[in-house]
Amino acid sequence: MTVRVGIYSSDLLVRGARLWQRGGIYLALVLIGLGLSFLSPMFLTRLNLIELVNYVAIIGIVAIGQTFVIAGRGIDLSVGSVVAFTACIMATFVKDYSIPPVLTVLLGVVIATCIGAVHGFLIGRLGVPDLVVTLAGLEVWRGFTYLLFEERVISRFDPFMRFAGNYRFNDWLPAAVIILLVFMVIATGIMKYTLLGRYILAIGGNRKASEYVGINYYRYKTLSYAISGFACGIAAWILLGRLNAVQSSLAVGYELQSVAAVVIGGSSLFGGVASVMGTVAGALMIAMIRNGLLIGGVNFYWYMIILGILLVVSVALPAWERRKEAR
Amino acid sequence: MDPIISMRGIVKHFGGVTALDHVDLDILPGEVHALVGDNGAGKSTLIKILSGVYTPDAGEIRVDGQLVKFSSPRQTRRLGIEVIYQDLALVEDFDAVSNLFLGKERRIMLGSQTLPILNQSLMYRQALQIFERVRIKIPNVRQRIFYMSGGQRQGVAIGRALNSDNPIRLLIMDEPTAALGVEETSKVLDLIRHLKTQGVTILMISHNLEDVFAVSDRITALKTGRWTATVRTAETTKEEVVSYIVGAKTQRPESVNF
Repeated sequence: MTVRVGIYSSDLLVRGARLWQRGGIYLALVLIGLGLSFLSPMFLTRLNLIELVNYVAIIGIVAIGQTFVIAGRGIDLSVGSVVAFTACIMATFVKDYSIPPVLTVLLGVVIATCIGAVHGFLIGRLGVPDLVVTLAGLEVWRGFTYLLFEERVISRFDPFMRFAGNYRFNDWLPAAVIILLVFMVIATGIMKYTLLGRYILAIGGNRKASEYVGINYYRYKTLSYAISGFACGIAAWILLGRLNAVQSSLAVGYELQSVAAVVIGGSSLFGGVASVMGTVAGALMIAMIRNGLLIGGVNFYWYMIILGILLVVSVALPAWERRKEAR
Repeated sequence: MDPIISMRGIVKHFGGVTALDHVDLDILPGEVHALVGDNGAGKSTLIKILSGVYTPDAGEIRVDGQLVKFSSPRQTRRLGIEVIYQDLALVEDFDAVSNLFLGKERRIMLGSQTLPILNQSLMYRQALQIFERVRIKIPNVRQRIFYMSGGQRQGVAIGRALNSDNPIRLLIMDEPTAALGVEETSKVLDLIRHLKTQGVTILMISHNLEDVFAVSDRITALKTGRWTATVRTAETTKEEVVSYIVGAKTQRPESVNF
């Protein structure tokens, strides 16, 4: 017997979970924003908001890439290390080898994309689980970064290198936000309206079914990780410009923040369902919590604790709802 | 009437195990042919050969009298042979339309160029037509499969098999009613009868003799990899079919088991 528990259910938790998925996150964003503006006069200052949105842009772009990987039932734990590696090689290209800035950025993004593609290739062709390949990637790319740069700090970049992370149109609109928005629109289009997005979702939703109808699992696995790598490359450019200095210890912990942004945004951790818009909202939420704690003078380690709890809750609620509905 | 599919002397070994031992099967155009047998009788192996998943170790297959070599599911689909597996192979997170067109998505055309962009509205309209034509009632084709009943899922799976670019020659259904309740089962059986009136030839695997007798024209029984009988449903009884399934009786003299 099938019992529909869904929207007619009197069960508050199920309704809560559903509501959360259908825009509850946007309400939460408004509430957190309002709360922060009342609690701290610093929150709504121009400098703080620019700092906030720049952070959203970096995490948001990485998380959009992560959305494609998770849509294909994967997980990319290597993102932070790939961002750090890419930022550092961009820095050395432009400073040590005097490669023109435009070419440097291009090379950096291409290299990051290739790293992602290699991860996807290893997962698809060799059948090594996603978790193993990207956990290894987390270690390997961080290892290379330390090997090449050790304790070095490379700083003071030219305007083009700094453009993505530092430039503001009309002195207020950060270039990073424009890049995030453009990336979000394109990614949404790819996810919803192209064969690429549809097939990544299909291999994530049901690998057997997708292979049966002739969808090439390896190709779409590889492409999903390549998109994540590409996003890491762009994020590295923004990060470099925002800090105007790079070192080996950059971008630690991006894997958790990006995965959290994806699942808070309503995508399924188990593939098949994904929302790019939701991911950006998730990134905004994470960034606001972080920002609030910073300006509130709360011990920053609380950020890690809250983020961890938020991640577990975001995965638990939809999974729990699904179990109830399937009953 | 000439058979549209004719299998002769099909043999398949897995290691030391003989899964199929010189099995013959003829499928006539327009019939509903039921394949029955106990677990391990070789039904699944036989349809996997017929759908190109396995290649037989010996024997020949003719499609419309032409000798063909089945090498891949893709190739058999080109020949118009579609299989609906027991687990239905649907993407539960996708809606009915997306599942109907999975792997054969309609795309936007720009002049003579096909872009890699989905033509959602065309797929939606065609989906409604297909469901209408085969009389599958899906209340909301935009609903995710996850929220659908077993019968509706079966309907989507059938719709997808029929939504082929090649004219359908044979529809193979693996245990179409196995996971369904009484009411849903009768709906799926109605659907099979309706498809038959539309001229679709069906090979159906079933454990359930009630269902087999309700819709089939002929029945072929297998017993531990051997063909035991092919009979007209109208001219036999459940008891007789059971005795073919357990091997107590056979139409093949040389393979009598005592």
